[in-house]
Amino acid sequence: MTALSRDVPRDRARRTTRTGGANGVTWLVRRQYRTMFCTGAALVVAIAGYIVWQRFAMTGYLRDHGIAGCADWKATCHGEPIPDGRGESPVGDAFFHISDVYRPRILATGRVLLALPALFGVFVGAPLVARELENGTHKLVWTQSVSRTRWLTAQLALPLAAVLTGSALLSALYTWWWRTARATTLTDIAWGTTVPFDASGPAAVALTALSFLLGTAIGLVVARTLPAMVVTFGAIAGVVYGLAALRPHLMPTRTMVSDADGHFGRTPQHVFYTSWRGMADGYLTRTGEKVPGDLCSGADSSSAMHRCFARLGATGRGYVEYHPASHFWPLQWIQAGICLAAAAALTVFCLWWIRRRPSGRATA
Amino acid sequence: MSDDNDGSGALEAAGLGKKYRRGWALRDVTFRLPAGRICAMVGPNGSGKSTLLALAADLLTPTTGTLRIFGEAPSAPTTRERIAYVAQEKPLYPRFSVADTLRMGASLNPHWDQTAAERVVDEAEVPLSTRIGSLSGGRRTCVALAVALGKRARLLLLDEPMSDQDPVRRRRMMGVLMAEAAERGTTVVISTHVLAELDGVCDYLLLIGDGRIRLAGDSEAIQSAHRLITGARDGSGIDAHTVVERRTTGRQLTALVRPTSPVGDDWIVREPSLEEVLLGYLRSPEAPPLVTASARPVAEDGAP
Repeated sequence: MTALSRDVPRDRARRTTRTGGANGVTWLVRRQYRTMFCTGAALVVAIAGYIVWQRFAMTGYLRDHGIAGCADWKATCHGEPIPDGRGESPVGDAFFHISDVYRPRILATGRVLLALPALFGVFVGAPLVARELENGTHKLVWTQSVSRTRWLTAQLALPLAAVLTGSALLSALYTWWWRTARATTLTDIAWGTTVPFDASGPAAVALTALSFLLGTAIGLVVARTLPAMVVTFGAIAGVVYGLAALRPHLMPTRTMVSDADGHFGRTPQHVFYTSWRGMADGYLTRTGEKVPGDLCSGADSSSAMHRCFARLGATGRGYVEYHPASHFWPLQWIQAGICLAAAAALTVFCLWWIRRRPSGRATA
Repeated sequence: MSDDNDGSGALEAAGLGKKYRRGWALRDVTFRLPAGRICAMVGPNGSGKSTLLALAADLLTPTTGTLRIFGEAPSAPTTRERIAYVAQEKPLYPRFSVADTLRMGASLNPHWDQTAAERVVDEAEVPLSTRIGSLSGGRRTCVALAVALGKRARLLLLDEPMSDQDPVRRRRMMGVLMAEAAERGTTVVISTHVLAELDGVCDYLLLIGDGRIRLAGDSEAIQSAHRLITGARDGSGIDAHTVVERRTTGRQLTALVRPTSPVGDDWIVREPSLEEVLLGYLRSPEAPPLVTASARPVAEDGAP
């Protein structure tokens, strides 16, 4: 027992000296980003509080007005008919209330959440190394005993861990809020569009990681803070637009086909209303070939459009491509995977670049 | 000093060159700085002093040649612990307090000496709670020096450390620096373009001009290799020696020479001060370079 108690502190002492450097970089990063961390945490708490408050206010309203668990596209709610227009019944008006009040709030919150990864990339990622290079402080830290690889690893890991925690919390809360609302009403919100998709679930978290790494990599290469921030903003906007264009193709879409007179009555209502539609639609020919609607989008009148479709052999039978509700989570994970793979590649690039940097100029 | 028995110098350059996009900053630099010396690196602005120090600090990589620090490459992990570098612009984090800055030194260096670092800060009368951003240039330099000294390095690379100090603080800082260096046998390289800064402090000299070595070696050996001679204006027989610089005043000729044989009786001969030697070379960019025996790389010494 005495031997044991004597060994333990000695072992611990040795370990602290050995890992002292690693802890040290951690201290430096914590000290450097103290203010930013507090600001970020306050922002996350404020937005999270708002979402929780709104979500409970909304479900409270649903409960109080007897429409909890109902959906406005169904014929009845707990046995009561749901009218199409306003002012016809309290049940119908309750759905309209939810739509009127929460639709703008959900979309606005989604836009704010979408802005967070961009803000993080521009204000934390881009200056991370660029500011050191611009102010010359890299000459201070890179000439201490800790290798620059370890320095950069800590610089990347700590802010990333903090912000991914915040991002995971916010995206989970937001997903929880809007999906409840959309299950009840707001069926016209296309869940695959940038808002709410990029602000939800794992996709939002992965986008945050990618934005940060994009900023860091650009800052490392550009080596000047302000230009790095501007370029980063452009790059993140490009990524968001790119993902929006790519998203419908990440999984094979399904097609719903209408009757000869253009009604989609054959498609089950829950499939129709819970799906993400709008990526492609048009009319079928007699042989079942698709004539995409945008082929005739140049027509300036309905008769011209009729003539256009007739020329292309289209019948009155319409089709709509869609992603069913069951595609939401797979699409989320696929997009998250793409973003994380890109973020990992950028991490490797940053670590390679920072080691390579002193030999930046070719040897003659 | 104790583990310098392998014979490798503190700093050893062989054919070292660095080319930037605008041209060569250093060319064919070869010299050896033995361990334990206080070396003054002198040269006009833009002569390549900062480039040489940045190469040693592994912030740049050479275009040609090699640089060894205690026998190892600047990029070796052990070298990072052995050197301390203060860049010319003395970069520090402006929002850190002085205490934070020393804490940073402590957390990034395994052999940190808080007492030594605080001694420098005390000597400069900088309170630990002051923010770096609110310090004057001279005081900030002292904090940068404190971080360098606290690192307990075997080789200190200081790029113009005294340029923004008032004379009183300069003397104090040099005092602290020299006491630390003497106590631990630290090798120190101080670059400067003000010769008076280092008077009586350095025992080793490196004069760089236009990216090349012009003088390298023991200050005493360099000094004693030169003579300041005064004589008649026609200057007969002077060309038997290596003439560094010659000036005529009235009917007299004064020249700084490296005598190759005893100087004739028709000259008044005296040994110049180190400053006179340096000034002579600075005024005559074409003067042939001199590398004394102690500044030649070991491999070259062994050659016949």
